[in-house]
Amino acid sequence: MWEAAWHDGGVDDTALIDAVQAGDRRAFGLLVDQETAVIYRACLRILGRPHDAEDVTQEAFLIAFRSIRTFRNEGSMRGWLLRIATRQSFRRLSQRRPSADLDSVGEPFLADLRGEPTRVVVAAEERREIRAAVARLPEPYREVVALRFFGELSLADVASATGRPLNTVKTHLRRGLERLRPLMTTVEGDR
Amino acid sequence: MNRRPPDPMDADLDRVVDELERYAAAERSEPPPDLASRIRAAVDVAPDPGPGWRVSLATLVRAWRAPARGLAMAAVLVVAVVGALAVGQLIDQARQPNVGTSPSPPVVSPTPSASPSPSPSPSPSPSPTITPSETPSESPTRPAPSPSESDEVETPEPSESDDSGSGGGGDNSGPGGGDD
Repeated sequence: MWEAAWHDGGVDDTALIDAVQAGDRRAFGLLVDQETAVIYRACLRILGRPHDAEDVTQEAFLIAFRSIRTFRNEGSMRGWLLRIATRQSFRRLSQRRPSADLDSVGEPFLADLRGEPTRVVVAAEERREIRAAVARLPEPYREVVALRFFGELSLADVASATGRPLNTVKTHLRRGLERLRPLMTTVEGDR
Repeated sequence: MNRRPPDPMDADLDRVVDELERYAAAERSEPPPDLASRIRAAVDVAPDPGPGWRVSLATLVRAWRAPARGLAMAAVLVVAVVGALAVGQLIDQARQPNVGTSPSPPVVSPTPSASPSPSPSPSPSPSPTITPSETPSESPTRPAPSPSESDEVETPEPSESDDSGSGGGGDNSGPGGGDD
């Protein structure tokens, strides 16, 4: 019944959510299949390291499974999962030792090594600066920015996922962007 | 569309938005193909999800609703009875000083004042009276000093104890009872 109830916006079938909330592992497996890519990308955009992103994605799903019954059907399941994942990612980032972020250069660097390695390294440094700038934002601005741009949620979805009014979310986003502006202009100025 | 002149601040924010969107577009790598199956395997061995604190709380409240109602009624009854008793006791205490304070202190005060005065007097008096009586029997040649010594020893102690016992007890009991 609920196996065919998927669409691009994520899990939306109440029967499936009910099954997941009842502890049905097969239903949760379908949720994992559907949402892993979105959650992984959000984690990767925050952490910059594929291995860390994989770990945190798995952690996020396990946390979600353990606390599935606390999910209220007010927002989307994807928004709820993204909220857990982004929070875990920022936690992992804060526990990380300061070191050279070589992983963030990643596969694009290796692919373009024969082309223009300097440009690739500079681009990787810019991405690192953006991640650091977002990570330095205070809450709730950081969460809103991360869900909006790294989780690719609409503002309405961010509002329902966080349980805040839409106008409050808009205000938080604007203030977050204002705080990012001086940090991001450094990145732009380097170009 | 262009009713308002463009705000430079908004233009700056737009640049930040563009930058974030460009960054998100650049970081679009797909997860490893086996990641979902690894997660599913981890979920399979994970313990069953807990009921959640909201559900636990709701269950607890539901389970306690009927007994809690009875308990609440019993508690109200107990509080009412205890309150009535306390009020009655307060009223009694408020009435008591006007009716029975004056006779009670004189009845109570003499008994403690009398009890200390006899207790010191018997204990010293036997010991001096016995010792002089033995000494005269052994040596009758010295009758004069022994009675005088016994009188000197005997007389001050009872007289002092009697005076202090009665006077002190009365002085102490009087004002004490009056103050109370």
